[in-house]
Amino acid sequence: MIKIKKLGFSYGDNVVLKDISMELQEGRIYGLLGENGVGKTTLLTLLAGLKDVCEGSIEVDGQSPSDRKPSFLSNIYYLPDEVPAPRRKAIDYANDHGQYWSKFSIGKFSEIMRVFDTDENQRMDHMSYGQLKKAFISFALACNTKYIFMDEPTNGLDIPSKGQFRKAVSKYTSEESTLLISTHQARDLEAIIDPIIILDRRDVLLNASLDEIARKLYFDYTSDADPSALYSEMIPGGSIQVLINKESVESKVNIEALFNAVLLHKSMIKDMFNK
Amino acid sequence: MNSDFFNLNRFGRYLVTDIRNAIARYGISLLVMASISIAGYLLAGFFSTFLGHGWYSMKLVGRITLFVISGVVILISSPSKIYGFFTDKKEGSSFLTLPVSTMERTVSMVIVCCIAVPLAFLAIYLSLDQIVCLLDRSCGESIIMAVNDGQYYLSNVMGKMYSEIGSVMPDFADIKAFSNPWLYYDDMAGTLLIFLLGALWFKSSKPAKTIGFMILFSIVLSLLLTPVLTHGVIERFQEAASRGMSPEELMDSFPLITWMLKHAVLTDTLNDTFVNVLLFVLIWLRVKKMEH
Repeated sequence: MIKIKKLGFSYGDNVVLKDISMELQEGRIYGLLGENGVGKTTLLTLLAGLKDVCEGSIEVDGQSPSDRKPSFLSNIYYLPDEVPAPRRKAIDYANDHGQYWSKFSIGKFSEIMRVFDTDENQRMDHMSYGQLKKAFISFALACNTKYIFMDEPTNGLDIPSKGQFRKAVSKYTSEESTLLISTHQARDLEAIIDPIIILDRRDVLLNASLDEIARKLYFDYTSDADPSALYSEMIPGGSIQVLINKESVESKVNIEALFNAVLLHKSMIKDMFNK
Repeated sequence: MNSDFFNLNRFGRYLVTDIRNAIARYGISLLVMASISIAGYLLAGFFSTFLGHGWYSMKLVGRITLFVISGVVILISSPSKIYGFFTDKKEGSSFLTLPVSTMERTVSMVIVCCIAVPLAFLAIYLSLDQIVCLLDRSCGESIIMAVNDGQYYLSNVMGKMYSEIGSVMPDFADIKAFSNPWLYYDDMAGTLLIFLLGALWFKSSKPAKTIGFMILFSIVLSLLLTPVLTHGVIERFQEAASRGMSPEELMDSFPLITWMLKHAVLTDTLNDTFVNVLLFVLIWLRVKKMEH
């Protein structure tokens, strides 16, 4: 379990995260959303132990990430937005680096590479950015770690690859694994992320499961405009409106609309979900 | 040992990964630098022939000069080429999240930089030089043979020095040990550790900034130590000498310096060991505290 308590982090005078508290349960795929610069990448690097907290604490199964102990690192995999291009074949890289994660499966790596339609025998420094990203996503999932932190994993992927990514995450993530995926492209991950965390500058606006969101908010896809809507947007073939779900009507959560509604009504949404 | 601090099995695997990484990043450069003896030999021969002087075989002095130059280039460039990526966000993040301990990373870096790279360079360079000398007898002695003779010569010189100094300082025994290669190796290892620390510390122009820092550090150290040495040693020595003291009495009045001279090899080794351990600790701290 991941426990974040009153977390604060700043780059010099620039405060990025302040007083952030949340808990991440095991076996979930969290979507981490937020505007540019709210500290999504910083939060992920703090969780991966690449930075030390300025205030508060982070505990991952009782361990402090910044100690970077092997027993902690072997339980996590961090996939940054920008990945390096090692001068070797993907399969050799996977064989060589995979040995440090006890549950790593080279068979799984090869299988996911096939899902992504990427040649595991190609040198990584000769791959396109998208191919390289897919090789690292395959490696991340093949490590079978308890926690996987992914920063913008669909950046650089073409449209079919985004679908392959969703398929790979759904099929190859074990039940016990917790994924925290940061993204700007909510639609890319709509089918797989649950719960959803929306980060604001120095605050967590929302940390709730899709069930809870659907219980409290109603996503109306009809074209009848409702003046009480928290957010509305024209979409092809009609509109999408986010309303308070007063009558407990079931609806499908639209993450983009939710995100926009939360940004427009920060304190109201925060109060609604903190009750 | 605590498996989060140092695990021999994991370290062994990591060392292999690290050596592979070093080969990928620096293998070709090292091969090129180690092949300079052949390049120099061929160039000298071709130019001489081209200028109408017939084939010229590069002699020992020329080949030793090339050896020293390429050795210095290896010394300065290898740490930053192999581990310079550490400060790069993309590659450094991947490196720091690999499940190995800080101690294992540090020891592996030191082994690669201070043992594997110099050994590989020496083995390739000296073998090629030996082959050239075997194929072309007019080259004269190979570097390996010259070093062997040189060590013998050094021992002889030291032996003579010993007998001369021995008349004043009868127990100045271990000066002969100055021909021991370890004395020069630990200096070289220290230099490599300095450049390794520079590679992990500076984000760009790593060797140049390391050299710049060393110059600055030397100036500051000289400014700090000069008054101490002048007032504490030289002036006292001059004063004692002006009183007409015999060499034995002079030595007795400076017990620390006398001990250091008597045990010069031990003093040098202790000094280098202290500096190298200090550099190792700084490298370990740098790896431990590195953030991306």
